[in-house]
Order: sequence, then structure tokens, then C-alpha cells
Amino acid sequence: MVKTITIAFLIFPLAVPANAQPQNLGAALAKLREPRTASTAELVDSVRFVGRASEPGNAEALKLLMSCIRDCNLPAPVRTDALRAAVGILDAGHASELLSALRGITEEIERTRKDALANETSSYYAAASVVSAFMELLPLKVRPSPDLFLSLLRDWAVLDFTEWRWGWLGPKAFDAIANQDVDVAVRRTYLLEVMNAVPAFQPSGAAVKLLSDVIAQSALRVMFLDSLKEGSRIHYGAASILARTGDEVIMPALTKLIEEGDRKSTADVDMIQYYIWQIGVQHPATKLLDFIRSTEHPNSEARVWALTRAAELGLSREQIRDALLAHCERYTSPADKTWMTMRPKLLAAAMRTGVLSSTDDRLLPPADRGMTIP
Amino acid sequence: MRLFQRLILGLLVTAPLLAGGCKSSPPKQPAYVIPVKIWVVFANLGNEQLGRRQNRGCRLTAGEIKQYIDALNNNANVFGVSVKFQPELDESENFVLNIVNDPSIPLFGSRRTDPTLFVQNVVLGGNWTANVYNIYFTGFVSPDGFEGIGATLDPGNPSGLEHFTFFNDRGADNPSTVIVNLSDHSFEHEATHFLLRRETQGAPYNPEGHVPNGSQNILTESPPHPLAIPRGPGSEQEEIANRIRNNGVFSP
Repeated sequence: MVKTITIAFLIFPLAVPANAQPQNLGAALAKLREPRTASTAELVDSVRFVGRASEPGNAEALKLLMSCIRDCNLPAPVRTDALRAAVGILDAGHASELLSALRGITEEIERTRKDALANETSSYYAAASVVSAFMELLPLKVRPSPDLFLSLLRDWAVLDFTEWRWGWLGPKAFDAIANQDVDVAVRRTYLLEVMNAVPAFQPSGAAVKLLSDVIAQSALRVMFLDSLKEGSRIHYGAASILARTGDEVIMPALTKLIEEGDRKSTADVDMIQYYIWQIGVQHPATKLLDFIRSTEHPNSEARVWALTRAAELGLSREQIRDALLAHCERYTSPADKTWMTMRPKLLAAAMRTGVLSSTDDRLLPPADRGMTIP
Repeated sequence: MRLFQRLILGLLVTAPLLAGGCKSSPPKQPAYVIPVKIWVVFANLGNEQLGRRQNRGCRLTAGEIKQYIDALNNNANVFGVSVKFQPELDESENFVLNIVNDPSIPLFGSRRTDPTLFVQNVVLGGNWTANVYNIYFTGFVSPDGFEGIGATLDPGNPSGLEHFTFFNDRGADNPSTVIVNLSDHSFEHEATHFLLRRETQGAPYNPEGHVPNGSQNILTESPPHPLAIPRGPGSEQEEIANRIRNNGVFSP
């Protein structure tokens, strides 16, 4: 694998003669019909040319591009560029074919994953790069097949959380389901299917809002309470959403987890105590203001959550702002490490919720800038 | 007869060695040793222990940490020069794991720790050693917005520190979980940043930071990272080799 890729990389820039560009669409398509007779550079140029020169919905072009995407003997640049080209000329009639090709990639990853280290010819990394490229594009053009699209994202999310463990794909696919422009009920169904399969995953962002309505809450309660049976993994994902939304129904079960012995040794007591606090601090909602104003847990993201939640629950923006400004009074040095970290988070949350306006930055004490990570 | 037997036997024994000596197989290159100092970062609670899955800091066991270092050495040929990453050893030949408590790990709610605070409190707080590769095994050090696996940083253009790597246990905020993943090569990816002394690549690399357009290499942005580093004149492999051979810091 190492040799294959490094040699391919060395050859790639050297093997592009000045006249490697296909002269016409027919010539480019001909190259894709016989990919074994062309170099990597020629194939890359050809798939790009086909993407530029074809009309949307060109059946032959799409068929050949999808063949390149599926071909586990082709190098990653050819397959990823074929995907980009295909998405560029995709029409409604071919959306399901593209999704089928990507489902084939899923199977290829499953097939090649376990021996990717030992097998020099494994196409695992090339297949992974196709998935990565697709997630960068997240093509809305596949919308005519929302069920196929969302089911693919669901399967990728579950596989990444449970098997592939790439770290980025699961959360990204989950967020992508939440953000698709399709019916809320459809999205919620797929999100709950992922939640049900991955008890440890704690969603954030747009998904939380979708999972906070009555229907989702009811399903999440079942997931959490069922997970407390002996031999099951505690469903922290469901508990985290129910706690954010102040669901008092699960409070006795959470308390029992802390107080009673058997599960305590394996449970994450810190997190369960946090859930109990999250529920308690919302009843009544004004307790959120007390916490925001306080000096408790200065470096915890709990204050960012409390500010956001107070706004969601309809507390007046002025009250929230006063509580926030009261909390900030303790910071007198721009070099205070905690304030350097928390200021941007609190400011962003305050602006996002309308607690502060975009010109209210000056109301918060100044802080030095932190570092950035590439 | 006995003498003849001995001669035959001697010939049988020595012939393969002689033949081997005449073959053109290159002598094995000595490995350039890169000394490693391992730090394990716990929360400032007093009850955190190696491998405890409820830690707010690092949840890895000593064995899991060793798995990462072993994998790095097993795959070190990707760097194009024979290197060995060698952690400090105790009398029993086990890795010395330097425990450090990070007061910036939140003790309430999410355990996500801001990288700025981690660097200020841990790395710049006297827990960094010159002329070694400092690797910090952390819990969940990550900026807002994504679940970072790790990073290799040089906070030090002002401070004079060399690059170092921090590597999370990958449990993020998923309670009691920890994920040891060797097959996506994220650890090797970070070591490549360290050996290249680069956080981002700059031109001619693409705006996403790491990889030349259309190619694959170990610095590919998202895991799984292919085990490949460009080689040849002027390549990254040559840069790594030159640094290790010539710059003196990691001379054998």
C-alpha cells in the first residue's frame, strides 16, 4: 500500500504531458471506457473534462463516471474526481444510481477495512477518500431520492460510530441528516434510528432541536429507560438530550443510578450528576439566571448551555444579559486564562440568541486572543 | 573420514554465510533514535488513574499507550529513513509515563478542554523537555465545533518551544468510552507533522491545509490517513531524512 501510493504520487505530476488534456468529449469518454489502458493523469484529466463538457443528465457520461467511482482498482484521485464530476452533471433521474454507487463504496470499506494495514493493494483509503469527497459536496442534487440519501447517511453514521471509528464521519453524517431540506418527520425518524444504534453518542447542534419535540422525547425516554436493564449499555445519548430539555420524567431513574450500587461502578457518575443538574436548573427557568450570574464552574461549558437554554425558554433578553454581565465582572485581566477561553464562547452564544447585539462586544471585559489549531 | 565429514559439514555451515556475504543486499541501516517523553494528562481531582474509564483526563491504559508507540515504530518506514521512537524506560523496561494534572480540565459537564488552556497550564507550565519528542496523552483537548483526535503544535515561535503532540483518548464526551484506533494512522499523522516541523503546509498545498491537490498522503486532512509520504528529490521524505541526519537534535 505504501509503495503503491508513493510511487503513484511520484509518477503523477511527472506523467502529465502538456497535451494530456482530452481534445473532445468523445476522446475523454473513450478513456473512461478503457481505464486500464490510461495513466492516472490521463484518467484524472478525462473525468474532469467529462464533468465540464457534459450536459446535466448525460446518461453515458454518468454511467462511465459511476463506473470509475466504483472501480476499486483505480487510484483515489480518479475516483474522487469522478465523484465530483458526476455530482456536477447529476440529474434527478440518476440520483439513485449515484447513491447505489456510494452504497457499493460502503461495502468496499467494510470488505477492505480489517486488512488495510497488511494488504498493500487494499483500496480502503481510496474508498474512504470517496466518502470524504462526498461529504464535502453533500450534493443537494440527490434530493429527488431523499430516502435513499438519508438512509446512506444513517448507515455511514452508524458504521462510523460502531466500526470505522474515523471520528469525523459519524457526527458529520448525523448533522447532515438533521440539516436536509426534507420533511421534519422523515429526518427525525432517521436521527432516532442512529441514536438507537449508538447509545454513547451525544448529539449537538440542529439535531438536538429536531429531537426535542414531543414525539422524539417519547422515543428517547424509551431508549434511556430500556437501557437501564441489566446487561444493557446506559443510553447516555438519549439522556443527554432529555436532560438538556429538562425532562423531569427521567429524574428518578437518574437519581437511582447515582444512589444504587450495581450500575454505579460502571456508570459515568460525573455525567449523570450533570444531567440531574441540567434538569433541576430549568425548574423554574429563572434558576438558569442565578447560575449564569454566579461564579460557579467558571471554565465549564455549562454556562454557555445555560445562556442558550434561558433564551430558548423565553426568559427576557435583558435579564439574561444582566446575569451575564454580572458574571463577567470578576474578570479584570485580559490575560486571565479562563476568561481568554470563555469570552469568545459566551459572546458567540449571547449574539446567537439575541442577548447581545453585534456591537455589544465592548460590554464584556477584554481578553487576550488564544491560539489557533490548524 | 571424520575429517572429510567435518569439511563437508563446515562447508555446509559456512557456504550460506559466504554466499550471503557476496550478495548485494545492503547492510541494514542503523535506526536513528528519536527520544520520546510520554506525558499522561489527568484532571486535577486526585482520584484519576491510568486506564480509569471515568477519568475526565486521559482514559488510556499503559498498554494502550504502548500500542500507539509500537504502531508508530512498526510503520516508521513511511518516513523514508530508519527511525525508532524510543520512550524513556524504567528498570523493568516499561515506558516511563509522566503524570501531569491539568487544572484547566473542566470538572463539571463536558470535559472538553480548550487547547489554549492546556498549552498554558501543562506545556508551558513546566511539563516539557528539550531535545525529545514530547507526546501528551490527553482526554478531550479540542477547540469548539469538532471532536479533535489530537494535534501537533508549536506554541513556541514566541516561547522557543519545539513542536509537541497531544493525542486524545477519543472518548470525547461519550461517557466511559475510549477508543484505541491504530488503523486510521492518526498517531502516525501527528508524528509526521512533528518530523516535518509543519502545522500547515502552505503553497502548493490546497487551502484545506495538508495535501497537494489530487494526491494522497499521510497528512490527508481526515482519517483514515494513508501510510504514504511523498518521496524523491525535494520531497517531504527527504526533508525528514535531512533533518534527522543533519540537524543534530535527533542524531543517533
